[in-house]
Amino acid sequence: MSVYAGEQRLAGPVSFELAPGETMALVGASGSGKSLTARAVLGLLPSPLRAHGAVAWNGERLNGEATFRRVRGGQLAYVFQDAASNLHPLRRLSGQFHECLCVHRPTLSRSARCEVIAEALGALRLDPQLLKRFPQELSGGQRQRALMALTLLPAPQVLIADEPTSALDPTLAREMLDLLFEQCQRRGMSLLLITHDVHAAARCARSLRLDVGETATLPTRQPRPARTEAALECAGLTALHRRRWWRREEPALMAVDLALHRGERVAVHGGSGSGKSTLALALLGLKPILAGDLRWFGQSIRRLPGSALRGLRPRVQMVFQDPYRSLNPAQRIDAMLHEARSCTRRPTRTIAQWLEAVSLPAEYAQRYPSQLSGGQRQRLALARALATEAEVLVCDEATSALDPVNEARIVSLIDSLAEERDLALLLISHSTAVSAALCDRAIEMARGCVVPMASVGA
Amino acid sequence: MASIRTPALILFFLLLAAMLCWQFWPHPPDQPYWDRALLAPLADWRHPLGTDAIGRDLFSRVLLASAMSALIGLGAGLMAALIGVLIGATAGYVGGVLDEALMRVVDVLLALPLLLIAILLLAFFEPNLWLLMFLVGVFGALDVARTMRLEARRLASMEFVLAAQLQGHSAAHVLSHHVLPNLRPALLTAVGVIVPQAILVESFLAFLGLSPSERIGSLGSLLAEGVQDMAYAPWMLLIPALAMATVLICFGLIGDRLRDSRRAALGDEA
Repeated sequence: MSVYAGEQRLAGPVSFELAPGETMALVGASGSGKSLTARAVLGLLPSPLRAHGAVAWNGERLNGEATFRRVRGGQLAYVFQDAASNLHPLRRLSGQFHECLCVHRPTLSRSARCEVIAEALGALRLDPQLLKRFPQELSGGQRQRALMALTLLPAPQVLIADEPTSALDPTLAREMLDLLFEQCQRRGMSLLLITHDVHAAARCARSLRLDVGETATLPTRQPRPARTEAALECAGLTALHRRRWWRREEPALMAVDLALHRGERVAVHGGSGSGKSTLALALLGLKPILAGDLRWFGQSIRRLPGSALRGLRPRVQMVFQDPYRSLNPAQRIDAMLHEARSCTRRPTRTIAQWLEAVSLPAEYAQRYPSQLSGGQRQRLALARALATEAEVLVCDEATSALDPVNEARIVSLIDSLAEERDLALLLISHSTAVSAALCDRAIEMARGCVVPMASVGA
Repeated sequence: MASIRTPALILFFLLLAAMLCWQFWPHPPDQPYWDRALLAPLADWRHPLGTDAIGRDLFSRVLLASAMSALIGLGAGLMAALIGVLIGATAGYVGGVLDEALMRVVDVLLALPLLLIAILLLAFFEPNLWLLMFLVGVFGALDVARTMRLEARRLASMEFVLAAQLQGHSAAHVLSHHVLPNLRPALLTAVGVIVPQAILVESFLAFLGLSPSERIGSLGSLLAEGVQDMAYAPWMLLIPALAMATVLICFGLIGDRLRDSRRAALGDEA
């Protein structure tokens, strides 16, 4: 099978061949034309767009809607990115499954169809009871698996999966990929996996990059000597989300012990709701502490008076997840950096030098945050955090709202700036790739407690 | 986006004309000409808008009364903005017990009927311009305070406020540099409602005969007189009514457009 699609430089030109049973990844940043390419292969381009070139199926050239319809669905199947909008919201799953079989295998009787459906659900570890539900009554992971089961029902020879995991959390995404590859192997099905996740792509036999511009490469980790001088330290730290005088709250953090040494980089992993962000905020002294001790640079801050604590604050800074909420929309960028620089007695860089350090053009000093893109905003947030001459930097999912290219840029920036300034880094991330690129060791959190782990990477 | 210029210019010329009229127009608003009572507009070149039942010049009366109404509205709006932001932003940003206390006071005051209290106080004291502005301003401030509190609470939960706290700035600094500048669109919206409302309240009181300014009067007192003579001198009702509509619409447009332009500058959506 070979494809050549060149649609007014929206995507391609691309050509590839997929052998039976082969798995291949189509990788690229958002906007690089991955989905358009896949849709062109299926003859499903949205109306003003045109594909040039040819698609051949088993040596036979596909041309025109009629030829595409013969193979589409039955032999050449497509799993859409967003399961929620690709299952019929007003029909129970059973109806949608039966309809699919009626079209593709019209000879089956009703009971035979039920058997085939039950088997397909079992293969994806779905409870047959779910058939009675409407799509919106399923969890995100179940919905994505149900869509895949539906797609695999006619036993296609080639499966095109468009970002099948991007809407799922990391654990579910891994399970989903495992299932996908397992199914491919068992059925001898070819797979074209469209993804922006380099690690998912690495599991395919080969991969094809569609990037036109920059490529996202994370920096490689340099081994650093172990340090002993503690920057941030907590012992038995138990903290609440928020103190309410009228009722007792369950602690969000339970007896956490952690020592972050100067110049050390620690990653914090854990599922959503495991208390990662609470840990970050508690370490910054922003959560009410019930028990335990919290020390900054050897000084216990739990009973420190407000003014003394404010004096220490500039040395411990944070970069937040959402750059659209973490920059004051009414503050010009020079004012923002000036404010941060005013927190320290010995600023090492001018505003212009800070902008240069995070590779923003000097004329951006006159701009407001609304005139910046997401990646630029996050780089600015990094500059603001470091302009106070911080010695400890806490990054709470600082890259997860960004596309891979911007993510890689931020990660390299953090890496080089942390190296230059001997920063202690606490990196909260669900991306193991990012933490492996940056951090010396990792801790894992679950239900507000720290679960120790081995050091990151190999 | 429509510009703010037209309504602002109209109001500016209105105030300018009122000042010139006060200085140079030969017929002061409270000067009766008994021999020229109830002249229709354009009937006599000396009184282009006619005269009332005791022969006072309607042109100067309407012009000065409009300016007076506009000034009362602006004064009350300014007062509402100052008090409202002070209470609302503090309550919303600081939160906790202070928030509860301030907001319960606001609730209690809001439960009092503004017009009744205004009538009582104005009848008890001399009907006086400053008292009226203060009353309308304070009652407007209650609404502004509630809006500002909600907005300040929303802003206080944004990470840029957290980032400023993390830099070790004092609460006063964070409030003045990060919360207050972002309150502006919401404040302009709220005050944009208060100003026309103040003008209406003042007119209502003047209509009842509690006019704070005997000599010049306000659009409300002109309307009250106009209603009496409506049957045989309709211009005495129509002209002040038109003036009132103009002033109210201009203030309403200015409020809307200020808000829109701030939103656009801050990159807010909708």
